[in-house]
Amino acid sequence: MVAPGEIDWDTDVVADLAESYESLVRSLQRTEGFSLFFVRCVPGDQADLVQLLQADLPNLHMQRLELTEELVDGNLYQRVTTLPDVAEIDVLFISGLEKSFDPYVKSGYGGQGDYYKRDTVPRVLGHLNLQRERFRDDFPFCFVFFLSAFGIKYIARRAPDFFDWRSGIFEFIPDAETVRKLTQELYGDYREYLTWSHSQRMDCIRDIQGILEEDQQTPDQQASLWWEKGNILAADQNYEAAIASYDRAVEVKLDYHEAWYNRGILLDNLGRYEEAITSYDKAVEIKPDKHKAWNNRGISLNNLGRYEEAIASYDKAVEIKPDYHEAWYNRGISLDDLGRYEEAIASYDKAVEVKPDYHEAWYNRGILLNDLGHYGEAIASYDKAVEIKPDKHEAWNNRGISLKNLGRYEEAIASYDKAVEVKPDYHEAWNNRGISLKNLGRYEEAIASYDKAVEVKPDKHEAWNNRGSSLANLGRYEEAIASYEKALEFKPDYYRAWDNRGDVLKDLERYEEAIASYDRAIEINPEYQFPWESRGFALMQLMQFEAAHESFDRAIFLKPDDATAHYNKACCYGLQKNIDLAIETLQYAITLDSENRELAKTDSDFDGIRESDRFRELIDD
Amino acid sequence: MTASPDFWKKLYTAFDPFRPLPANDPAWVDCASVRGEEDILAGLGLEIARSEKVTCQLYAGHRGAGKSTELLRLQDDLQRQGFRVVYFAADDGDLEPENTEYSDILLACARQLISKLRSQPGQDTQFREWVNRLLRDLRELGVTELSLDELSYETPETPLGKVSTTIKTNVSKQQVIRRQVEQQAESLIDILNEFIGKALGDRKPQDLVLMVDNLDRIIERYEGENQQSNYEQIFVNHSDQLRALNCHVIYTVPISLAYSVHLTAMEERYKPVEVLPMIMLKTPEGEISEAGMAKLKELIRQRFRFAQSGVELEAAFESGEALDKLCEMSGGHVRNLMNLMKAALQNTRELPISTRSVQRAISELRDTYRKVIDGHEWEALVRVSQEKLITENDDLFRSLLFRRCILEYRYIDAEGEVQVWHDVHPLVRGLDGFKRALDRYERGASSRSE
Repeated sequence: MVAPGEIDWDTDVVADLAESYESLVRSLQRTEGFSLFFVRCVPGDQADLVQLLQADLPNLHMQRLELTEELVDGNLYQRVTTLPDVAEIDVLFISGLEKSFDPYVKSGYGGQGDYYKRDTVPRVLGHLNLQRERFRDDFPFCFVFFLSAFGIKYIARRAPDFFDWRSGIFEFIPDAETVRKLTQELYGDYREYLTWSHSQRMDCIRDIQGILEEDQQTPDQQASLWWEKGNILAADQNYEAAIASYDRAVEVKLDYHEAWYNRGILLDNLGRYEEAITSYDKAVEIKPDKHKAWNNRGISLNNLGRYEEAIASYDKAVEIKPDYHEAWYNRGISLDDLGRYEEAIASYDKAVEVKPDYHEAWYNRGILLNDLGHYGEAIASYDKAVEIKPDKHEAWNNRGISLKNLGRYEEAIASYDKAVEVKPDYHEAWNNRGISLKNLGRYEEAIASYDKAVEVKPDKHEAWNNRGSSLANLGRYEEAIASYEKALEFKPDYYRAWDNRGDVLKDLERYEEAIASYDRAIEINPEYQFPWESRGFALMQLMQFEAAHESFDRAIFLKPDDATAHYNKACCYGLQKNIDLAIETLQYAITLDSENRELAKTDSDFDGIRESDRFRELIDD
Repeated sequence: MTASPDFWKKLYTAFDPFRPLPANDPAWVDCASVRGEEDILAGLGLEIARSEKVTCQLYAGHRGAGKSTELLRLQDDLQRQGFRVVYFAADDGDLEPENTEYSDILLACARQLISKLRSQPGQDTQFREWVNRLLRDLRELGVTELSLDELSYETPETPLGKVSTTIKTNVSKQQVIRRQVEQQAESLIDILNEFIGKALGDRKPQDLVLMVDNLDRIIERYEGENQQSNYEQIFVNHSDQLRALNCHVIYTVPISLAYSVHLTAMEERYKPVEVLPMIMLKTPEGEISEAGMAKLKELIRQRFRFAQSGVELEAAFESGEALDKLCEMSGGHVRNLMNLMKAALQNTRELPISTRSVQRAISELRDTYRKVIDGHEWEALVRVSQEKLITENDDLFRSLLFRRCILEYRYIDAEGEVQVWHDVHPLVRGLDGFKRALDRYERGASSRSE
């Protein structure tokens, strides 16, 4: 016995397992009617404990209620009323209550400081808190809740009134070796987590949560558990919560570069690039040769448009691991974004050197070569891409463009054919195919190809416009007009379509309408030269010479060496019988293009001045 | 001495932490003198007895401080004075556990008033019509799962309780229902008031007292930073509706609400919140209050007697110090005292209770406080332990009050004024986190003074 005054009452005494067990036995023995007990122990020990208690208290009728899944209505009272032989029960052991907390798993779930998540209450706890009188009045027996350390904590916080009515808490705390074994059993593999169902993941998280807070847990094991939990949550695509879990891992184990690294990946996934970069910074600070962190850091920098820094980060990655093809590839993208195409191509070269079947790199390389005008090389690069991945439709399409740029229309068409074979709704390819067919003068086929494009994408205005041109080429003017008008329906400011429509109307000698159409084109884009010239011509046909001159002047202003505009202006003077200006203007038109002399010889517009000497002189010259 | 199993069962049951004492129970001990003369009969009771008009009062206190026991006493006292009293403790049949709103409370009041006051059939016709109208409107809004053939007041299934459990998973519909009930709640108040008039016959509304207990059982929620709590949404935003019943009403609320800035800003609405403080065991200066200690011992002694154990209190403990410490560590909180006694008995094979058993009981209860305190809260607790007052009225302190980590005490000073002060729960002082934070505080304080 200790002498009075020698005890420090602010210091805890620790009960051993036998003491705790005896207290529990006495409690059950001495209880009459309703009472609540909370027993903390690891799941593996529950059955043994029940067996032991039953052996020691043979006169008490004991039952177990194992909740294997969430109580959907959150109503434990209801669940207990439906138990068989409920009237016989003296002691009811309940386990698995934590499963009903799952739907309330949010970011930071279970993290210290986040327990008391004050925006939600698990329904089951809300119920218990309000149901305690009903439990007391309707169930005259002992409830023993088996819970993890976490579960007890959660109830203490979120069902405080129910918890307040307890008659006792008994803790059977496992020793360090048991905790170590239980912890290690929970280490897993991310790829495996990906194959799990949501509820499998939640089950595992609950187990982790249970063992995390064990008294005999070590910081290193804790960090590993937080890391596993983060990985499981990441596999569950609950990124916020996963990040919170990695946070805890690095809090316990500051140099946990794997956690910093994974944390970075998830932050990047969430678009929080700055934070991702900071996290990668930590990872490479701890482990400077962590090439993957340098590479991913580059990706986040690139996402922020900080291309130079991204490139420097990729440089680090390939310096550490020269055959790191992903980094070479990503480096290529950043260089491309900076407009440093030659270097980008060199970087892609590196990527395919290391990994010859890297079709993405071959493809990107092709695009850059095409943009630089190296069509032949571009085609070779696309050839590689489709050789590796024959269903890479974008590559087939772009290959077609490069072939077209070389005037190799037949081959271009074959390439587009491949693209739409792989992806029949690839409207860009259908449209491009139409253009190449048109270039070969195969207008009907071109029209059929445009038809496909607008069938897939009815508002594809370029295809409607191109279709109109091919129809016009076939002399199917009304249909052409209708097609242009479709284009304009989807894109009313499509000035090229207005211009093209004007041309068809002009060819139909519907000059007023043509002029109105040109006016629209000019109104939208006054810098577009063609409609000014065509409009002048139409006005001339209507004998509106002054207006025609103004229109030609504008066309000439925008394109001073436009021989046709000068020639038409001369025609206009001819019709006006203004010999001096007609001859002067025609002379300039002939200077720009000698063909105009031949045209003028038979052009009726000059009939009024044909007899003049100066005209003859100019023509016969 | 080997005691019989029956002896132990009786003794053990005497310290059950879940039975408020009925009025006039011999085990009840008058503690007003050590609760700053807080007496429910003099406070809430007198207000009702003296008021010419109906009143609406809030009654606050720490969980387990004895509010229900006090309310049952008040009910008895008022009934003796001739008042008609309807007391009820709201439960999960009344309140939607995840998302309680004021309309839940109003419906619970309706159910209780009607079931307890209805003296003739037909008096509740209007209420039935109201319910049917609500269900019809809900059906029109696409909530078809519900029908109500017969409205039974005896089951705790209010229409709303039924509604919310039926479609718990369907969040969008739940909101539809909420909005609809909210809309129609206004008209329910008039119906209830009319019913009260009819049911009371020739008696006045001032003769009826409605006591709504357990409202502090709603779990406090904050939707976000700097947002109102759900309690504030109910008692502040809907004070008009909650005050509109034409009878005296007392609502119990958690102690944290008594410190709500939003609520205190509307004192003209409710009478000042009546708070039931802890039994004062120490003065603010840290001197043991013999009077308070004596009351706690009296509480235990009464229960020993009640169990007909034949055991004298002093003989039940191995040492007087152990008994003193057991009382002291309860912080003057009655349920904690019961928890400690119960645990000490569990740890004891045969009387007397050993010092180690008491130590274990204290350690076990202390651990429950460890479970509810977060790392960032220690500093605030240290400050309260030093300043003996909540100086900042913010969410953190209110939440610590709610969790009983901070306790409220009152006493009458030499001028006869009620003095309110606060301290951390004595068990908190033994927690490592607190000890470390206190150490930091003291080092900080000494370096500042140099």
